[in-house]
Amino acid sequence: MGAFEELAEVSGGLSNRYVQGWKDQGKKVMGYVCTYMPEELLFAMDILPYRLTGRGVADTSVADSYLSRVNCSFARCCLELGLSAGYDFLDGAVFVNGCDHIRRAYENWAVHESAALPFMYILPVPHKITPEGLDWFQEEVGSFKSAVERRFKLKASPDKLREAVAVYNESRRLLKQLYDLRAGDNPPLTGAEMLTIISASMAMPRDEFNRLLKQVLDEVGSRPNAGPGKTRLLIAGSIMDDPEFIENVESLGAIVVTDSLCFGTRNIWNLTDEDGDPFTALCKRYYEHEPCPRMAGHYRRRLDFVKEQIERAKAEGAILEHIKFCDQHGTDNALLKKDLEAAGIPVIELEREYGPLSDAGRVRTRVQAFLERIG
Amino acid sequence: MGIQPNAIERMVGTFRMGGGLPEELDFDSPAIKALVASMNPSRRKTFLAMAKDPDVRKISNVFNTGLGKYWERVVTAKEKGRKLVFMPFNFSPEIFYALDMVSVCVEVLNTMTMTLEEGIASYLDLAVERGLPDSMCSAQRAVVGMLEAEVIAKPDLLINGALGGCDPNTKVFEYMGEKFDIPTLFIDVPYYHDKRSFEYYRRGFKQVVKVLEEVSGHKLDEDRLREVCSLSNRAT
Repeated sequence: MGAFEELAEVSGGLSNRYVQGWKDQGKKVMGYVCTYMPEELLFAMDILPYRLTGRGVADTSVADSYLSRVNCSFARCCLELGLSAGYDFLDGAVFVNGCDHIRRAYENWAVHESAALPFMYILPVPHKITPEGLDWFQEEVGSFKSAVERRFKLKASPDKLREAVAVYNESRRLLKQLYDLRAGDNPPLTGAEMLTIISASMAMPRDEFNRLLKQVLDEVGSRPNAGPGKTRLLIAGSIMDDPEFIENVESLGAIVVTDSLCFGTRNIWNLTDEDGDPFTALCKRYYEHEPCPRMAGHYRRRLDFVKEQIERAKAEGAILEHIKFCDQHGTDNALLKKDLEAAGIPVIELEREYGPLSDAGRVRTRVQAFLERIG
Repeated sequence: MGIQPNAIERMVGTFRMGGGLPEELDFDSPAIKALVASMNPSRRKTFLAMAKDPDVRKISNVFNTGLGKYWERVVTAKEKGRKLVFMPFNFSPEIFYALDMVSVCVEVLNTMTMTLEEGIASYLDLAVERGLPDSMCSAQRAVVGMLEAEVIAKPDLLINGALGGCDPNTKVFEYMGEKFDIPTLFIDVPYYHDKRSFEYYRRGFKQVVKVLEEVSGHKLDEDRLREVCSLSNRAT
């Protein structure tokens, strides 16, 4: 099995052999839901950070009885897994007050004693990026660190934290190399393959991931161009961990060469400063990284980031997607559409449901028409 | 009836009329019957609710006169040299009164579209037609539609003083600020409800007050703020 196939196996399901191997060593696994949760902190305590998604959920009937019909399908799928023992391999879960939907998913999961994991936590993140907000966030991360240390009788020493920061920085640098290759004239990877790799990065030990990623980088060097004659696209918007969605788009004569996603560039573009106090540097990195639309007053920064990605990867158009009822990305996308089109970049806005191939036919028709428009 | 200009001026007119309901009103008379029949369904229901019962009618006169005065203050803000601020329902209007600014609660203005002949639907639709997701809460959406249609003047400032209250409330202010080029301020509200959170909120609030002092050209007078709070408490 090649390195890519191994990563695809990891991102293809919920638990995987790396998670199992970690647990077999008597170590803990903690689910987390958002890019504002410093993974390094857990990794430094020998706890495996595992990104929660709704992967593989085909039916949300249990979650539907607790959430309202205007909660997004991602939150529903996460809660469904939480309430139906899909995540019973986890020792805990940490959520962020990222949006209304995910808060409701957390509350409903945490309140069900029979389904709740041994450790349930919500890490509050400010909605503004200010010096006071950074102080607040640092205090919150400190409280979270203490709570985990107390609960699991583990310690994140400065040295261990420094090591974890180095591992994650290396990971982001390596992933960025893949983005560089995709930005070139002969992208060796499809967008679906890239998403497969990124999904795996958050579902296995990061040092093991780095080892496989280096092999992937070696392997893709000899690959042919994955997108000759195809229309180069950027994809941006709500949480997206479905390679099948991208595959669907790419099967129509397009290639996704970059993105602005929390399962993508927004999660890897910023590195943690490796000089000075690692805890302070880590908090600063997470708080100030490429902002999600939940951070108020930073639309211009998000627009500039999307434009930068488009220019860098020579994208000919942009898909702005949002999961139905995701008002944060929905409103941001409306602004992005206006501003990108004013800058001469063709845009399609897609409202979608979370989940592999849901609504695939409609998406195909719309993307096909969009590609014809770009020409 | 389609979208019409000068929405707030028309609201003032409606409330003025609604504040002058005569003591005696014969709902069986041909004139009143014709008047009621000429109204659109939502206006008709509102009119009947406030005018049919003689006791309610008396209270309606007071209520409508007050609302007419309030919206007139909004319309005349510019000529009186007062800055106009749009804010969400979960923020303090007292601070604006104390700084001689005029504040409009977006959710209330949204509701007031019901007094217009054309009603609320055309504004809700226009906001979506021009980009806003159709799942966005309707509590603010008509105001976005009115700004799109240019039937209300742009405020001098937007303030979202309750970030994190809910997603639509948080996002709609950023959306309006960017789309209509209006300066926008934000105050963060922490996840918890404790002393530490209050201090964080207080510091954010004070920073916004500094900007408000610059925009309004007035220094915040604590005695005036106390007086306004006292009046607000009395009204509550």
